[in-house]
Amino acid sequence: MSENNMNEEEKKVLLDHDYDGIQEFDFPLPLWWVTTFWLCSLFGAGYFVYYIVLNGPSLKHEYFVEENKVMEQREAFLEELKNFKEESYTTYASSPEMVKHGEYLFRMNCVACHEEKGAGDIGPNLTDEYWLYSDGTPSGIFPFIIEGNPANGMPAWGEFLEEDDLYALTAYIVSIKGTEHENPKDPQGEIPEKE
Amino acid sequence: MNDSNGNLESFSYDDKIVRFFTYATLLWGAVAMLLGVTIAFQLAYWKLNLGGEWLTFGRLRPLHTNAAIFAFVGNGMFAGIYYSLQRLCKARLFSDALSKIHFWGWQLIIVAAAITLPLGMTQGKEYAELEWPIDIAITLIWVVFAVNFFGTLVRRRERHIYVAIWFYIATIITVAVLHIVNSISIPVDWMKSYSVYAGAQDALIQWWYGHNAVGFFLTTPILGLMYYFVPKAANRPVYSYRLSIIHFWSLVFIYIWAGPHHLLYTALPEWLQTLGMVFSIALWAPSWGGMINGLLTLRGKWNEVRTNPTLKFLATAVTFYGMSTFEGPLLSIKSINSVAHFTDWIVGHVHAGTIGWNYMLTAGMLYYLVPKLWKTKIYSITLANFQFWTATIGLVFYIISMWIAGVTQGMMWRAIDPETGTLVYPNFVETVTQIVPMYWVRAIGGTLVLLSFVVMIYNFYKSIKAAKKEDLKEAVYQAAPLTKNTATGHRKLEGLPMIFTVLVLVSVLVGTATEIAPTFLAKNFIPKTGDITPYTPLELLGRDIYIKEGCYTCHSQMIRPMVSEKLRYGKPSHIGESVFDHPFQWGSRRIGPDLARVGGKYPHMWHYRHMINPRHMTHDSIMPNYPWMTRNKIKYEVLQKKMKVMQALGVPYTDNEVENAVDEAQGQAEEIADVLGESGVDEKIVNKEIVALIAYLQRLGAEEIEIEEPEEVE
Ligand code: HEC
Ligand code: HEC
Repeated sequence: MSENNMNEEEKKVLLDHDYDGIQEFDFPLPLWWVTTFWLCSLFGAGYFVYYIVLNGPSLKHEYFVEENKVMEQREAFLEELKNFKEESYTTYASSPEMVKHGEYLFRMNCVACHEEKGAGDIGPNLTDEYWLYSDGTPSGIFPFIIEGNPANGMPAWGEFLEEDDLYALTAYIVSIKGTEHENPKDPQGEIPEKE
Repeated sequence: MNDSNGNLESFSYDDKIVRFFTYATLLWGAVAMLLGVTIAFQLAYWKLNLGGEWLTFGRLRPLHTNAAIFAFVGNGMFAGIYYSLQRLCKARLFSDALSKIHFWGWQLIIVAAAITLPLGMTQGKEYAELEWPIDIAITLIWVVFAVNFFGTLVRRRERHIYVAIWFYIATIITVAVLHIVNSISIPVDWMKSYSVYAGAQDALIQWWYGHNAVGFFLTTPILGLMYYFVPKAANRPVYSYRLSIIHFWSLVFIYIWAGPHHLLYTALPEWLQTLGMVFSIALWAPSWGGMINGLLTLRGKWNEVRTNPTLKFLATAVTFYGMSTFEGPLLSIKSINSVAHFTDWIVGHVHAGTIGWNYMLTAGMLYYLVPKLWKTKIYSITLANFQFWTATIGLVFYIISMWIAGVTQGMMWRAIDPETGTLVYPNFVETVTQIVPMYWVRAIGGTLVLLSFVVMIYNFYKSIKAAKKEDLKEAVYQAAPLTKNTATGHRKLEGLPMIFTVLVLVSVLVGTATEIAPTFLAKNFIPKTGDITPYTPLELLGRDIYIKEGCYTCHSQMIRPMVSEKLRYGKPSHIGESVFDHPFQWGSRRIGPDLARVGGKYPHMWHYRHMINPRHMTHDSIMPNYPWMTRNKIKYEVLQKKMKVMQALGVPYTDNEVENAVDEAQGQAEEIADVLGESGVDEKIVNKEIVALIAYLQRLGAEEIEIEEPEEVE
């Protein structure tokens, strides 16, 4: 490698190293680089000392503070959601579009377990007279969909669906009551007593 | 012999082996990228899993990563190291025979990987999936490489070893340590073994390995190559010798500590997570030291960078290296990590490194090497330029789509409605459909990168074809034998490669020991509280199916202490819950939802249908179908052996339980089959894989350990 294309400054820091023609300059370390190195290392040391050696707030701590807050809020919200409002329901049930919307939601979320048109499969038949929980009335179905029964495989939908969607679904389920199916699931639960 | 009297020794270089490794690099590079493109399209369009057992995403992804890292980058680095080492030492490689064993051994290992991984033979540890016989072969071939390398150093005729060689030394030593420690397992049979580590300890060791595979397989050897090929190709001296020394030692010392940044917010003890984070931040400057030395060596040559393909690829590689080594520390900051972890942002980050740095640098190196090795000219500079731009544009598509996908999905996962305290996107699959368009963009970007690579192969093919065979005779060189080491300070050390090597080893062992030793020594590192019972025999078999199918490439089993995760998946995971997991399955990417507490969430029948075709249960799912699980029989033959190995690893199965394992498992299978039967499933299902898998899935999180609420919280 020739020195011809080097400037004066470069010639001054050129070392006598030569490896297969590779030479080395010995320019000083860039100041910004050295500064970055020190700052990062100091930050790291400080961070470790504060959070670990001096027991600063841990991730777990932050989690529990937030968790307490959010869980309370959520419970209050779901509690409120479960209140069945007769007028809201009537508006949905009397609107064919809304029942259609309910059917759409049912197809998206429920047929996997309740089969097309609620004939029953993993979950019970929703069109027969027999009910496990909800006594088949809108005011019984609605809160059950919200709470579900996760232990038996019925998800709690309160969190997944909006309030109006839940009414639409309820209206749809009521609308399919008594429909006939080729292969309905055997009845589960009881026929609710009429008052 | 006395060199001061001008006695010269004659020697030649073994370039044939370099040509061999070059061919292998080109072949495996294309294969690795083709696999990458395949799995990218599988995520965009699930049907490309093709319905066969051997080609699903879960089995091909490990093959892609192994091929890219060990086959493509591996062969490339061996080519570059063997070429430069001989010239930097003025000595022929130690042994032609060892070189050949090294070459063919490595190719055989790759072929073995290409056969076994699609067959589902895997240890289930990321980037270390290969089963134990192949692991042993890797160790042996690595030793062959090391002997060949250090033998050459001993026979060198250059007193001092150049910085490139420092980096090669760090590579050989550290990769050996990483591979051996991480791969220790007890065999069940020829192609199945269980890691001796479990749970949090396994996680820590695995990511100590995984992170430093990036550090010492994808970074240090390539930095070494940079230090040789950049000054050679630019015909300029290296910018700063002093910087070489400082950044080499700081890099080698600091890198090894940073592994736990892959485990932030997990159940790993927090002091380790914090160590991982702060060392990652400290690693930024040492990494950039290499970038500075690379780029400033090109000072005064930037006009040539535009015209010379070698320099163009090298300069771009170093730039991407700078970018990824800035992004890495950034991603290690806890708050940023809380969004980015488990998302595609990380995938984008990795590819900025592997494509931007490894592929580009390898391409630059090959554009330098091919004309020299075959005494020929590059067939077409235009094609080289075309390759460069296709690769760069493809990579930019890749990185940007993954940024968008990662940040979008990360934000959607954590979004909580401030008024109701409920998740804004409670349906996981919503967060998937949202980013599927980005999967298409990424797949197209990847295709461009593959195309660029094929163009390079064609360009080299034409260049080599034009070469004359008779030109390939080995030239004879002359040099004086080794002189006395009269230098002082670091320069003296550069004349003592063996002591240098020992110091490198010590540097990497400090961080290793500090982080890993406590997991062996501290009794309560992993609390064996007795709260968790070991897997039942059937669950154990199901777990092996989970591992075989590579479900961990899409599913995590680690709920982080974050409220959004609690709402979505349940209580945060406790370190004690995975004590019997040999190997751990915490995962690294959530293409699908976390499964740590999926047990009991759905009825058996739901899983049955979902595994046959996930879209039966979740409309827009991108998960592959696993219909063969209803046909393949459960392998009860190896059950007792498996339990005995687990027993040996400290899982408290009684001899009685081992004795009755098969009966026990078949009993549990019958219970599940009965439930499925109620929904009309044929009773023959009882001895099929799906039953064992369901048993395992239903078990996940069924036993909980509460994480303790710190006292300060009221
Ligand atoms: C993962 C399967 C699954 C899905 C999806 C599912 N269900 Fe259910 N559902 C069940 C099961 C199982 C039961 C019975 C629960 C029990 O026995 O405790 C049930 C019960 C019910 C009942 C009570 C029936 C009775 O006899 O009282 C209603 C109403 C209901 N589901 C509505 C819905 C609606 C609406 C959706 C969609 C938004 C839905 N389910 C989605 C599994 C499911
Ligand atoms: C290509 C990535 C991918 C692979 C591989 C994959 N999954 Fe999935 N998985 C998903 C996605 C996406 C979802 C979410 C949509 C759905 O429910 O299907 C999912 C959902 C699930 C669920 C439902 C989780 C829940 O809480 O709703 C289970 C269980 C599951 N997968 C099990 C498995 C098993 C077992 C394997 C291996 C045999 C596997 N998955 C392989 C992507 C994948």
